[in-house]
Amino acid sequence: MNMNKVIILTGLLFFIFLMGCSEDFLDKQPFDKVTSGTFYKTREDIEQAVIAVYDVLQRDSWNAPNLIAESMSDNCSGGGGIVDGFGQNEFDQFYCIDPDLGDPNWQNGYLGIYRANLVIENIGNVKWASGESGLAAQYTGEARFLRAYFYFNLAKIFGHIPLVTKILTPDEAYIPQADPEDVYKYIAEDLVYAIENLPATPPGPGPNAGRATKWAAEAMLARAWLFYTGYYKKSDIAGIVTKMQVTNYLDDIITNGGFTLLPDFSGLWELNENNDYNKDNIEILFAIKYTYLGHGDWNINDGNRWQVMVGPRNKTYVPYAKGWGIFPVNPSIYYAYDTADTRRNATIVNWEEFLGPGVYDISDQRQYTGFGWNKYGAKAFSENQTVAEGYGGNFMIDNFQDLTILRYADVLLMAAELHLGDGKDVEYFNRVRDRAFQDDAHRISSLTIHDIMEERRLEFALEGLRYYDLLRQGMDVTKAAIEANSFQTDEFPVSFPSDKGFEGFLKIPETQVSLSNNTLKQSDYWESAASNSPTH
Amino acid sequence: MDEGYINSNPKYRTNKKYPYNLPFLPQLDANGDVAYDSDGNVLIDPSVFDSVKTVNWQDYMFNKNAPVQSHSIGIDGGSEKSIFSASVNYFAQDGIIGTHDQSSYERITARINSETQIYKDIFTFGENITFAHITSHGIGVGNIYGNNVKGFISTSPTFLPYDDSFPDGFGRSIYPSETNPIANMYYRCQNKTIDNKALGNVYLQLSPIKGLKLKTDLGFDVSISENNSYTPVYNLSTLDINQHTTANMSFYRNSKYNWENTINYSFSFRKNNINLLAGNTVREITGYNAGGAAYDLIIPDFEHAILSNGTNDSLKTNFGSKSEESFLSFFGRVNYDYNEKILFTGVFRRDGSTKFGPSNRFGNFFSFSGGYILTQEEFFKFTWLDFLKIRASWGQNGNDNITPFAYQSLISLSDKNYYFGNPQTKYIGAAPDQIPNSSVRWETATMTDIGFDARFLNSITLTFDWYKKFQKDWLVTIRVPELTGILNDNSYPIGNGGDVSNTGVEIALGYQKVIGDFNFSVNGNFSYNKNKVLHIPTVDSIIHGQTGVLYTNFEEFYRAEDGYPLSFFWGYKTDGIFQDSAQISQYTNNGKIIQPNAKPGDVIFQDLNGDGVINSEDKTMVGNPWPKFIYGLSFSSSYKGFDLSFVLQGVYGNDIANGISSMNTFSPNKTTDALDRWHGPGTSNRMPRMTDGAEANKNWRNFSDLYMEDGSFLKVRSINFGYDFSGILHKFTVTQCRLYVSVVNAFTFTQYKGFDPEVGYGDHDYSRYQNMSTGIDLGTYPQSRQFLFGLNLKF
Repeated sequence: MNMNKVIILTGLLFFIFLMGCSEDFLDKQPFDKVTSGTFYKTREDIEQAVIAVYDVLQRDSWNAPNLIAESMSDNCSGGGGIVDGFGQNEFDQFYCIDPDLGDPNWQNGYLGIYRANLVIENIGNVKWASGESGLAAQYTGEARFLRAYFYFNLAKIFGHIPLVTKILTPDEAYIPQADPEDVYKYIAEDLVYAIENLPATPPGPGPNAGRATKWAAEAMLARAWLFYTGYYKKSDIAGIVTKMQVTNYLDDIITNGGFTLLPDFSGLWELNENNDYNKDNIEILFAIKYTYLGHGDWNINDGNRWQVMVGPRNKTYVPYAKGWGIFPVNPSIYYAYDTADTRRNATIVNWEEFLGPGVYDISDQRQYTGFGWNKYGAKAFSENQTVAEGYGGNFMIDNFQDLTILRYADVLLMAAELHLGDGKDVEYFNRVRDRAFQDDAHRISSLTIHDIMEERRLEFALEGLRYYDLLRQGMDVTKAAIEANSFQTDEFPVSFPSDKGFEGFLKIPETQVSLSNNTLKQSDYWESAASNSPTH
Repeated sequence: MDEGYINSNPKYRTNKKYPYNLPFLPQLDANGDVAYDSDGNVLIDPSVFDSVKTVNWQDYMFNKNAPVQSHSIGIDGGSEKSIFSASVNYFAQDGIIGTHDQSSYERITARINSETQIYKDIFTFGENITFAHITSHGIGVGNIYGNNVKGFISTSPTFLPYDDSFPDGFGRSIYPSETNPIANMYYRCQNKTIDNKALGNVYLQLSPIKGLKLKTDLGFDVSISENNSYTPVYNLSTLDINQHTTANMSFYRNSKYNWENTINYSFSFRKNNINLLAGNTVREITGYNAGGAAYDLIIPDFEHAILSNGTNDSLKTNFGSKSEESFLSFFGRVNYDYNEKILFTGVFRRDGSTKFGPSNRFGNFFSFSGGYILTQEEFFKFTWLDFLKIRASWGQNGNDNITPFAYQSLISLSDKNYYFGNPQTKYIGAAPDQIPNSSVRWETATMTDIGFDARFLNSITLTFDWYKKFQKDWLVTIRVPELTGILNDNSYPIGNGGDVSNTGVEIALGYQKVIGDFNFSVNGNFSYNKNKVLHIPTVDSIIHGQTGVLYTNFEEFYRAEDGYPLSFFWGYKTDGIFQDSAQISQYTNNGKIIQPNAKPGDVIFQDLNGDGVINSEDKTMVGNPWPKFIYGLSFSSSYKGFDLSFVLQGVYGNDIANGISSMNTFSPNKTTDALDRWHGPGTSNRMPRMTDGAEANKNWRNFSDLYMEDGSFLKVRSINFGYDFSGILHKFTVTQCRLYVSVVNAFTFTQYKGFDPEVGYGDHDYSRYQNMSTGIDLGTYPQSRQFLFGLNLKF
C-alpha cells in the first residue's frame, strides 16, 4: 500500500459521509396498511368503509344486546357455571359490581358510529364513474341506517348518552350526555334519509341478503318511534316523525315489500324438527349475518360468539350443542304459551320433558330453571361434535345462526298496534296468530293493547325485544311483570328497583366516566349504594 | 502480519449451579379448617377431603434442583501490527418452572475481535463479531390470561396432578371449569425456539495526518428465529379444550444496521488540548416474518409438527409481515481541557426518526459538561487529599421509543370483513384501527448534575452527585374516551403525556486497604430519588392506567396526575373491618349511612370527601411504586490464594400492588392469608370475610390499600469464595487455577408476601404501556437461589 491508495481511500470515506446524509431515508411506510390521505377516493374504497361499519355488528359476544335484554326482562335468568363471575346475574338482578359491565356495548356502539361517520364525512371525496351516480346515496343510506341502529342500541341500553355527530379528535371527546329527545331525533333523521335512499330490495336469499334496505329502515323507525313515544310518553319524535308517518311506513312494507310469514314458525330457527333452517328467508327484513368461515381463528370476528352462552352447561344433548348455561329460560314464559301454540317448542326446550327427569347435568349449572333456549340454541351433530366444529370451527366462536333484527311478524304486530281499533289491526294480528297455531281457530276478533303486548311476548321471546316492550308500557307494568315472572330463588331474587329510582338502563361504564373527566354523569340510581347490591 | 506471531494465553472457565430453596407461597391445604367462610360459602368442598390428598401445586410447578451450567474457553494474542481475541461459551439452564424438559434454555456463543494496521499506523481495520445460537423451550409468565404462576396458586388442592384413572394420566378437578395446570403446561408448552444471532461491527480508520482520524464503522445486529410448536388434542376443562392436533411454524428475521462515520481532530497549543468531532449515524431496522398453522396432523407428535403434515385444509392459516424503521443523526462534539485540570465538553446532536411525522421528525439536543480537578492546583495540595474533582453538567437526550406510524392515519384491512348474500360472499372492510396523533414528537430528557469525585488518605473514595432530570413531552399511550371509536387497546393514540421530574442524590463511598497479604475493599452506594409529574396536557390532566389488569373488568388503579409520583396507585383508603352491624349503622357522614350494604366482616372504606357515599371521588393515592432510596454494599478480599466477596442490594420505601392472591373471586384455592380473614367479631381488622366475590361491599373489587404491600427488601445478591491453586501447581505453567463456590440470591429480607419483591413487571400490555406502570405483581417468574461450583483456568 502506498500513499496514493491512502489518499484514494480518504476520498472514498468522504464520499461515504455524504451518502449517509439523505433525509428521505426517513420516509418509511407500513406494508400492510394504506394512509388515509390516499383512501376514500374510489368506489371500492368507500364500499370497504361501509363493510367496516357492518363488521361492528358481529363483534358482540356475552354482551350481545339481545342477550342482555332477555336477561333483564322476565324471560331469562342469569345462570352460568358455579364458579363463574356474576356479570350475567348483575344484568338479571339489576345491580352492578363490575365497574365496566356495559363497556363492550358502549365501545362497540361508538365504534360503529365512528366508522359510519368515516363513510359519511369522506364520501364527498369519491370520484364516481359514470353509472355509479346513485351509489353515493345508497352508501350514505347504509351508513346512516347503521348509525341509527347503533344509536338506538346505546339509547335503549344506557338511556343517557352523548351524541357524537362527527369524527372526534381526542380533545373533542368530552361531550356531555344529550337530551334523549335529541338522540331520537338524530336516529329518526338518519332513518328517514335511509328510507328515502336505500333500495327497495325484495326479500329472500340473493346476493344482497344482509344489506340494509328501505324496508329495514322503515321498520326500524317504527320500532324506535314506538319505544321513544312509549317510554318517554311523547306523541311523536321531536315533531318530525308522527304516528301517521310511521303507520304509513309499515303499511308500505306490508303492501309493497313482498314479505310473507314463513309457513312454519320453527323454520326460522336453526334448531327445529325439520332440520331446515331458512337463513335469509322471506320473513326477514334485517339480520346480523354470521359465518363459520373464521374456522376457529380467534382473531376473526365473523362468527356468532354469543350463541355459545345459552347452550346447556358444558354438555351436548343432541341436537343441543354445549355452551355455558348462561341466561336459562324462566318457566313462566314456557307456561305462558297455549299448548297448541307451535311457537312454544320452537322457542324453548323443556329439559325434563326432552331428556327425562334429572338427566340434565346440574353439577356446574348455576340457577337451573328446567328450561333452555331452542331459538338461537346452537346445534350439534353428535355428542362429540357441534355443528360449528363439524364445519371446521370452534364451538365458542364459529356458530353461525344469523341474529334476526327485524322480521315481518314484527312489522305486522307493530302495524296492528298503530292501527289499533281501525279494523286492520285484527287482520294483521291474526296473520301472526294463524301461523303460530297452524289454524284459524285461535283468531281474535277484537284487540286491546294488552293482547298485542302478550302476543309480542310469545312471538318474540328470546329475540331481545321483550324488555323494551315492557319498558315502553311504563315502570309499573315492567316491575310487576319482572317480579312476577322471574325465576325467584333465595339465592337469586329479582326485584325491579324502579322504586329506588332505577330507569331500566345499565350503568355508564365507570372507566368511561372517569376518562370523560366526569363530563358523563351516572343516573341517581347508579350513584346510590343500593345499586351495588343484589337486591336481597 | 507476515512477521506476526501468536502469543496465546487461553482461559477456561466452567461452573455448575444447583438452585434450591425456591420461593414458596404458603397455600391453603385441604385440612378443612377453612372449608367454609363465616357466611357459609364453600371455600373448599369438604366432600373430597377423604378421597384425595392435599396437593400443593407449587411442588409440581417448580423444577427443584434445576441445573445450570456454563463453560467458556478463550484465547487471545497478536503481533505488533495486529491483535485478536476469541472465545467460545456454552450456557445451559433448565427452567425453574415446569417439569423436566418443559422449559429450558441453551446458548452457545462465539466471539472474535481483532484489529490490524494495514498501512503503518495510518490505516487500521478491525472488527468485533459475536455469534449466538440459542435453543429454548418456554412457558408463559406475565399477564392474567397466560399466567401459569398465578394459576398454580389458585388451583384447588383436592385433585392430583397425575392420576392414572384418567386416560391421559392427568388428574381432573371436581370443578368442570378448572384446569389441571400441570396438564395444561404439558399440552400447551410443546414448543421450541431456535435463535441465531450475529452482532458486531467492522471499522476502518484512517489517520492521514497527525491528530486527524476518519472512521467509518458498520454495525449489525441480525437475529433469525425459528419457532415450532405442537398442540395435541386434549380436554382439560370446559374452557381448555383442543380438538385438532396442531402444528405451528414461524420464522422471524430482525436486522439492525448502524453505520457511523466520524471525523475527529485533536490538537494542542501550550497546555490547551482540544478535540473536535463531527459525524453522522444512519440506522435501519427491518423485520420480516412468516408462519402458519396446520391441523389434524398425519403423525401427531412434536417431532412431526410441521405444516406439510396437516390434513385439514379448511383450518390451515398463514401469516406474514414486514416492517422498516430508520434513524438518522448528525452530531458534533468539542472536548477541551487545560492542562488536564479544567475540562469542558460540548455536544450537539440532531436526531431524526421515522417514528415521527415530517414536521416533528428531527429533534435537537445539546449538552455541556465541565470539571475542575482542584488537586492539580498548587494552592490546593493537602497531604490527606489525593484527588478532588468538581463537576457540573447539563444535557439533553431524546427518546423515540414508541410503536411506528403513530402519527399517521392508516387504514387497516384486518378483521373487518362481512358476509352478504345467500350463498354467502365475503366482502372486505377497511377502517383505521388507531387514532393518529400527527403532533407526536421527541421526548426530551434534560439532566442537570452537580457533583464531585474525591480520594483521601490513599484508601477512601467518595463520589457525590445531585441531579435533576426533567422529562419533557413524555411519550405514553393516552387512554381517551371510547366516543372517539376504539376497537381495542391498540387503538389509543400515542402522545406526549407531559413532564416528569426526578430529583435525587447519589453517594458512593469506598475503602480499600492492603495489610500484608490481606487485601480488601468495601464499597457502598446510596441513592435517593423523588419522582413527580409536573404537567399533563390532557383535558383532565391525567394519564389513565389500563383497566382489566388484575383480573377481567378490574378498574383503573394506577395513573399519572399532576403533582403526584408517576403511576402512583389510585384507590380507596380503608379503615379496618366492620366487626358488627352496629358499627355499620354508626358509620355515617352527611346524615347518611356510608356503607348501607356492608355486612360484618366487610371492609370500611374511607369517605374522604365526606358526602356519605363511597364512590370514585373518594379515591386517592394509596401507594407509590417508586423507592425512596436504594442502597448497596460490596465487599471483596483476598489472602494469598483465597478470595472472598459478597454483594448486598437493597430498596426501601416502595409499594407493590400484590395481584396474585385471588382474594377477590371464588377461586378454588388461596394463600394462607385467607386464614387471617375476619370470621367473627374481633378476629381480624384487616382481612375481610371470604365471599364468592359478589358481595355488595366490593371488598376486593374496589382497589384499595388492602392490595398494597411494602416492597422494601435487602438481598444478599451473591457470596463468592475461591482458592487459586496456581501457586501450588507452578510446575504446570498455569497462571490461574481457581476453584470457587458461590451462592447467588443467597438471602432476601422482606415483608413482601409474593414470590419475589423484585416484581419488575408492569401491566398486561407491557409493550405499549411500558412508560407507565410499575410495581404490579401478577406472578413474577421468581428468582431462584443458586449454588455455583466453578473452575477458572488460565494458561
